[in-house]
Amino acid sequence: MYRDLPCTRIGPEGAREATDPVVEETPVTITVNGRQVATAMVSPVDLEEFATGFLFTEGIIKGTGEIDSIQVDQMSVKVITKNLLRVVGPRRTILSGCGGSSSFLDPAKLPKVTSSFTVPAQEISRHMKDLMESDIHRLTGGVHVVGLMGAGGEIARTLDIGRHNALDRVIGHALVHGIDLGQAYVLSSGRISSEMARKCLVAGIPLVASRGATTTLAVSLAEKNGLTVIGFVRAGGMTVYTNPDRVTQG
Amino acid sequence: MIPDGIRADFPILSEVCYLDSAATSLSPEPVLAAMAEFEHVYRANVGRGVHRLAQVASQKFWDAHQKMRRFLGAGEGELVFTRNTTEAINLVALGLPWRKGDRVVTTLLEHHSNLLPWMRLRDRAGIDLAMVAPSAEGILDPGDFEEAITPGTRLVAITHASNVLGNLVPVREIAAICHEQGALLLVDGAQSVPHLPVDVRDLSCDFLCFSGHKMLGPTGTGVLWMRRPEIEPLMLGGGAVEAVTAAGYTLAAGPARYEGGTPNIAGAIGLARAVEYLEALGMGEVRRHEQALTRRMLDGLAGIGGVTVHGPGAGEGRIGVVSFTVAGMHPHDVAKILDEEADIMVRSGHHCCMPLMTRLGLPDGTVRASLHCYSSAEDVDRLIAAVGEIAGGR
Repeated sequence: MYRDLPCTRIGPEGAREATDPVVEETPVTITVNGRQVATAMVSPVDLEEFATGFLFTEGIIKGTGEIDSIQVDQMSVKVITKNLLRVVGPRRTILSGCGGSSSFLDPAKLPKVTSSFTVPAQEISRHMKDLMESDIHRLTGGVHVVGLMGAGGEIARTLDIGRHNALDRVIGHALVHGIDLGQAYVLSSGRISSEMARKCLVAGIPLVASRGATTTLAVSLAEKNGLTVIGFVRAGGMTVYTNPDRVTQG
Repeated sequence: MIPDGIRADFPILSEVCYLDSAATSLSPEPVLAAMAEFEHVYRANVGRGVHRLAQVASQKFWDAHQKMRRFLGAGEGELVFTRNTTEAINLVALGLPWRKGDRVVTTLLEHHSNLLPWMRLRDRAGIDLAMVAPSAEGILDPGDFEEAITPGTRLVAITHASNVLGNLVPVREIAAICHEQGALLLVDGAQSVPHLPVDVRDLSCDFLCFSGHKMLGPTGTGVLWMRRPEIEPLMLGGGAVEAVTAAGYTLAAGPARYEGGTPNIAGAIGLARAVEYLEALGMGEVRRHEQALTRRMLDGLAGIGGVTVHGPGAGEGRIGVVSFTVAGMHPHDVAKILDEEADIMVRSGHHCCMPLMTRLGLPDGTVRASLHCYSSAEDVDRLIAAVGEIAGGR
């Protein structure tokens, strides 16, 4: 996840040689039926879950039942679908996310989330605080942390250099373990971009909350498709931008 | 319960009454379809190409190993595809470094495939070969192994279930003796893995050898699982190496070092599909189904005058392999009549177990009827009726 690298620290007392923990970033290639689908810059952990979540939130697979085989081979994840003739097409939308990422999904055709799931505001605050205290997050200051929460508390937690990767990984975890995403919500250390909102919608996740901000496009997608978007979850407070009925108080 | 509907997956069953699954089982349609898909959609060599067909074929071949590992609970160790049980046992016999005087213990219950490789080592490498004899019912006494497995015994090679008499061998007890004495244990699972839940953790063996074609997979497929991959590969060549220079070579990691040359790719893919098919039925269900039919067969044959069943009675200690003889008739004649008069396919003769036949005093061998998941009560009743006619007509 990270390596201690040599560095020079410069402060009021001058410069000194030191080491500092730096987060690992690795290109990972995903192929489907022998064709390259994407290369993502990720933290090199739980690649099978990451690829599963990625293929799902990109609409390339509808569930783990479509996967015949998944092989992690060094820095590539090779997936074979049950329908071997399936070829992933070149339809891509270039997104504004980090690394010039792109998507196979048509933003005009996102599914609507109708889950009646609710969660108390205090719980969101409590879990967010807990998430932000993650060791590596604090140690390196350079990773995003994303948690998947359910009625019974935390389901999965992951760290990654990219918040989209982290989100894909927890969604992949849920798919692999058969968890109902309609009764779960996502907490993120990073901004809720339209891509984050879009991935939640595709996965059927009803609520996403961040310690940071959101964007106008994310809010408009969320409004249109029934996702609850919450920003600035800090010090017991939060800003609910869309579908506030899912957040209870008391 | 094994659903009756699975018989439709085995078209041969609409033509004949197939009771020779211990020799080779039938392959269901999904296995054939998986092999045809390889030929039609992504036929390519494995581990060598970068084009997408090669990638898909390579991954399917790799995945077939993983599916088999899961089937056996083999999280650890190495799993290698072979042509059959015979090749798997020979890989061990020829791959271990032997010293003159090394002791190997086997039994007279064994199939020739688990005897000849050790006999050759006795003749050529000077190993000390001991053979534990079973009782007249084919039962092996673990107490005999206490004596036979001496300190310093190198390897014990035993079958898990007799391919003639159907009795299960107390492998775990024998494994405990092996562990005490520091001997390696090789288990011939050709007749057990296809018919009952087998977990390598539970068996506690060092080598497990079995055939794919007896477990609904294609012919020409088999498996060698090794707890520690310490044997020398038999074949070296393409695919078995990581790097080669004029001065030397580095063998590949994983099963590849034992699978030099282009393997039976379609076979491996078909075998993996067979594993999925068996998993969907549930090996516990397969076992229960065959046990019920075995009891029915034993009860039916016991009621026919002039018919002698060889081997243990119904129960936990046996599989669905039933050997019998008809007084005054050669087993081959009985098998031939069963085919010609009743469309029943059974095996006859010594079943590649000539030393056992000598031990049992059956120089002509036996008639052997054997079951699998697709066998039915009607199959068994048809056999009993036909044997009744053959024996009654004497």
